[in-house]
Amino acid sequence: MAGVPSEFELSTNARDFLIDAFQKFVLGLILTFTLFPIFMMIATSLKSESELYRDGLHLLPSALNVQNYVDMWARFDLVGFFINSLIIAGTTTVICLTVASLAAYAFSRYEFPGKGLFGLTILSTQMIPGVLILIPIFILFLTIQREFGVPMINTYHGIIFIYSTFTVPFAIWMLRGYFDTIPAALEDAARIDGCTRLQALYRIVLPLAMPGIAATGMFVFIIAFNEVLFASAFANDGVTPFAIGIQEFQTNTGTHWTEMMAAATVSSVPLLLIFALFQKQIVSGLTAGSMKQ
Amino acid sequence: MGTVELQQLRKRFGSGDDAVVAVDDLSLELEDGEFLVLVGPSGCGKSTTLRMIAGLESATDGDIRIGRESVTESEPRDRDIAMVFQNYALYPHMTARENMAFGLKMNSSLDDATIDSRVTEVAQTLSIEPLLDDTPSELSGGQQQRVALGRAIVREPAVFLMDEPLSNLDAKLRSQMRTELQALQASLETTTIYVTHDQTEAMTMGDRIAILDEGELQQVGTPLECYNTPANQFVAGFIGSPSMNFLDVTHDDGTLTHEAFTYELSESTTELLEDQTDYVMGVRPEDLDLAPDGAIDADAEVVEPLGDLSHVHTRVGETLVTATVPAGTQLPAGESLTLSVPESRLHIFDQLSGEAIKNSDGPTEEQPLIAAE
Repeated sequence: MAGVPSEFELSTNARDFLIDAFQKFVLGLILTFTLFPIFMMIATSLKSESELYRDGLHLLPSALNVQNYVDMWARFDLVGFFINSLIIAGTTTVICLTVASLAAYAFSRYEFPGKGLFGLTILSTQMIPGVLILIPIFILFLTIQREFGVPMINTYHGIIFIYSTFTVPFAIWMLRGYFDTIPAALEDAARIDGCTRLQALYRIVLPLAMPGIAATGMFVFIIAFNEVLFASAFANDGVTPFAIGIQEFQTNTGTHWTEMMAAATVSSVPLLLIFALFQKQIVSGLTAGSMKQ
Repeated sequence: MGTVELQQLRKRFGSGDDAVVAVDDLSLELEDGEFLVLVGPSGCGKSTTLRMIAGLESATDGDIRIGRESVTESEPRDRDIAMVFQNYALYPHMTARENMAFGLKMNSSLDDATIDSRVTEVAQTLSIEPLLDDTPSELSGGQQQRVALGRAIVREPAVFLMDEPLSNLDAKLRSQMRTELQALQASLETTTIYVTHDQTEAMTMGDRIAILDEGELQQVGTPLECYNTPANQFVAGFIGSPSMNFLDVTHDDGTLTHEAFTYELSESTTELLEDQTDYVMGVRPEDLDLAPDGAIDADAEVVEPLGDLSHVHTRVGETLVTATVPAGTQLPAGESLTLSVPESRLHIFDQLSGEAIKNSDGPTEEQPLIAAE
């Protein structure tokens, strides 16, 4: 930087340093808020009940007590809750991705009357708080059971139906943006190469949309896995998912916090695994190099 | 048989007041093995025409026949065509080999070994064999272009459709690929329709060129026909670089009068001009000579030396006129000069309709001119 006064350089450096420090401080603050509950969950799961209720603030356990991870399985059918959660979240994800990817593809590639209005209607369903439709859905489910003899409350298909209605609109919007980035010329090429429209979709477009589909699927799975409000109303008696089942550590005689935290820690493992598995697909720019820009 | 016939082909986008006619009443016929270049400015309907032939756009009216059979309602895969796209459109998740084999896998009953040997054979022809296991993102623009070409060739279709396939290459590679493509088409003898906006590609590559403007066919003929006997002022201005010079003139009893000069016409030419007074005089830059006793007074503005020759931009009255002169011609800006043009090289167009009334006497080969209807 020849010819520039050294005071200016110093002040620029100092300003850069301050900006950098401020950014790190804000990031640190956000990370603390995000990670502290997780830290407390793990720390509590490793404490004994007596240590938990000792006076004073003790962040770290005095000794690593893994007994909670053994005892928690004996108290309730945690494995059953877990399987229920996997069934509910997994099926919701499959249904949601199937419906949403076809709808998003149509939104991205076709012009049809009412396209804008339809898109806005789908988006507007996301603006209604879930608690507002809790009772209408309850009435709807009772009506379906009465009129058609199909039980909906406390069934897998009932809760999967509810979760799908929430997640499909969100997934359509997310996938539509992704499909828009895949050049239409690739489908043209595939159709000339001998594909039908549907073959072009699943042989060319869907493989290229995998990063977007994986990311969307992961969000849907997490939403369905963690949901509490509707699960507490519509998923009990044999279909109880983990998020509700874990509340059973609260008994009439008291709450077994340490075992509950151990169960919560274990329950976050599948989500971490999903993140780890799909991370590569989510970040990879698979379409790079397909088209000369 | 790779004959192609377009009969009164029409494409309208939208409806009602918003309707846009992209292609209007287009009729064309291609012989088996012919190389036709569809050329025109942006938005003239050339790509839409190609996409209709490919089956990627439906025709509003008219008929498309490939090998004498109507394919207007057929799916792209049933038309026995292959297409090379402007952006190559290679499948990014497949290797070059898989890209080239994809069409054969989808559209033929050939076994894997036969497909593989055909891909390898075509790859050898295009000198891309070492690249067959690379994905498109690992290839350069020129290499991607060759793979895209290979993907079309390996199918051995009745017709090749090419949508500005060279426009993304740099100038040197483009000119090299232009020659290669011509040689390849000549050896394969596959009917080819080639879309471009580049009039140099149009002039150099095709057996015939079809010039489109605003969805309408202006002229179809050999490059020399279109150059020397343009059907109208649009074709005259579009074909040739630098463009033909146009000067608005009025006619009175064998004399063309421009604001800056008058030009005496022979009796035979005068007989062609009737009923009206307003015409456009067209002169190709290379037909203008710097002559001391020329009929056209001009002022020099800029000289562009190209090495082998130079372009002199002059002003005739208010009109900018370009002349091609021998290399080394020195002309200071503002210098007055006179230009001459022999009557045999003169074009005259109707000022209202733009139709050619008189063309130059240049060679046009022994082929009839088919003018747009």
